[in-house]
Amino acid sequence: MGVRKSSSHHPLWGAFIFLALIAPAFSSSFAAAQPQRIGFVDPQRVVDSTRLGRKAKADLARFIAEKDRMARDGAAELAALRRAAEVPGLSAQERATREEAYRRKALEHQLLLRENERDVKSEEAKLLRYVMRRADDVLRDIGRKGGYAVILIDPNAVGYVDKTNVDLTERVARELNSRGK
Amino acid sequence: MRSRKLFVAVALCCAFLFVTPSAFAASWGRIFTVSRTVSVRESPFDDALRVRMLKAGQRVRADFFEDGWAAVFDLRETQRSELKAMGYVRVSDLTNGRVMDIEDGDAAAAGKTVAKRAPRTEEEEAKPAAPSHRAVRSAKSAKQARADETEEAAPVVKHGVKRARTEVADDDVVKPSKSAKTGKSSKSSRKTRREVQEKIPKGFGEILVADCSLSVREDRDIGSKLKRVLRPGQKVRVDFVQGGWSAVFDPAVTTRDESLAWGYAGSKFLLTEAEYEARQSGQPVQDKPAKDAEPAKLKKDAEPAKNAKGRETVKKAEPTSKAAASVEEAIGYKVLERKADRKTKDTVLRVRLTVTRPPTKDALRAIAREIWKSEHKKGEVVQLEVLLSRMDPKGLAYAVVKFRADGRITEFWWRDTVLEDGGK
Repeated sequence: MGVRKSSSHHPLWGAFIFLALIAPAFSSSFAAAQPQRIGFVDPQRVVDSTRLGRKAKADLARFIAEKDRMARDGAAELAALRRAAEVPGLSAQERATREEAYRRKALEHQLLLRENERDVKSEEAKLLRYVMRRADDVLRDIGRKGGYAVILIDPNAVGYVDKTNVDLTERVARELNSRGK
Repeated sequence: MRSRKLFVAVALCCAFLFVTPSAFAASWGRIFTVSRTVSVRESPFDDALRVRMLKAGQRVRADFFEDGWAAVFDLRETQRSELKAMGYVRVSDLTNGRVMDIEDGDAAAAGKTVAKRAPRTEEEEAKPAAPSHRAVRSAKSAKQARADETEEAAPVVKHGVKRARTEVADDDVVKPSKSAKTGKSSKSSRKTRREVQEKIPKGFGEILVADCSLSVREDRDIGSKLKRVLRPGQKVRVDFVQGGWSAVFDPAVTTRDESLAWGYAGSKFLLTEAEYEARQSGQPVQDKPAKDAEPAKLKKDAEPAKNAKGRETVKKAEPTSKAAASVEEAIGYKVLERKADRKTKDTVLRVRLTVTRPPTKDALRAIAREIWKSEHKKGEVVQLEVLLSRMDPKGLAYAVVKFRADGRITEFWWRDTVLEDGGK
């Protein structure tokens, strides 16, 4: 039985071509049919367990210490003004002047404390944002490579997390640590 | 006969071992071997921040002795500059409680003679014996020093000032006044580099060098398409720093247009030429001053480059005087942004230093004060935000220094977090 040399006349050749053409369409529809993965990352644990996060915490502690120092200095000045206003034997005019200075300083001090509180919150937010922006890059990579459709980062928005399968926190932390090197 | 040869060989080896370290060691300060764990502090006060620990047996170079404190340096450090110090330690911790004396005045640290200071180099002799800010501050407690900060600031800064003003390297064209090579090749290589630099036109951003074989990618993403690979030591123009990535351009490009970039590379792998050379040689090497030095001058608005937020001001001076030799030592700055509130008279001034590694905290305060002196307007309350070279100009600052209208520093803090990814 002779075999035909030219493949263009093979009876199955048309079927091969047909399959080759529709194969990509099938593969993409299979991929789409795959269940989309969902991940979860706990930002607080990322901060606690990464070098970057620990540095951010140390920076915040230093910032708070600086603010506390200012508050202490202000309080010491205030106390000195109060003592000066309570010195016995002052003339009524002198006492009034000193009390006025004390009142003014007390108001300034209150303002300073309020500003300090606001500044600390703002600095904390800035540092957290800085850390999470780095973590976002990692998340994007993990999401893309791992086929995750959604990665949640708000623990309050999640009712239940299967930590063994879904929690990506450690992976993100590990990756973040390795990128910082 | 054989044993005689052996004896000679052993003697030669011994002589080499004993002679070599002293021949190659820098001729300043004194070398101490620490006998127990010792705290290195940021400034010469017991309550200053501990910046590192020295282990028992560790050897360090100590200098700038004052009031029982000394600045300590890495043994490989060749430059006698407090800016290069690891920090400060109590002299008694170095000597394990023994008293010692150093021949010159700045060594009032300790009492009786044990050893003499190593002879100074010619360059050091030419300099006024670097009393620096320690000489001003150390006699006082930290609190007093803070209170008197304004009065003391002048001499404190003067030391840093001159360097900051006169030895700053060109921001765009890196001047290799510091060569990693020594001897005959140094001069010729410097000449060649100068010739190369002359070809690089001035423009935006910075001219930096690839630290290693460096991938340039299509986007600021490690997964994006590879566009080209820079070879180690290749010069590129760098700008548009964001999230640890920098846009890299052909050095010949002078138009600040991101679309002209070759692509994006990791910022931490792009170094200044001086840093690259220092890294290649394994240690900073002191260079001889250029012979064709011109008189030093401070250039204001020397190179106006356009920024999205407005005009950038470059403050720089050429390394010109004989003492002014090192790019590493030189610290210049560029004003990135100035936001003034007319009502409150509060001004936020954002500046970028020309160094990639942060100076010691005392040096940083001195630098900040110097910048304040140059930039403040009368009655302004200035918040100075200090960024390091190649940090994102819109990102978090490395240090923040708040000044009162009279120049007193009210607040000073810094963020090590922003250094984590190489200060980008």
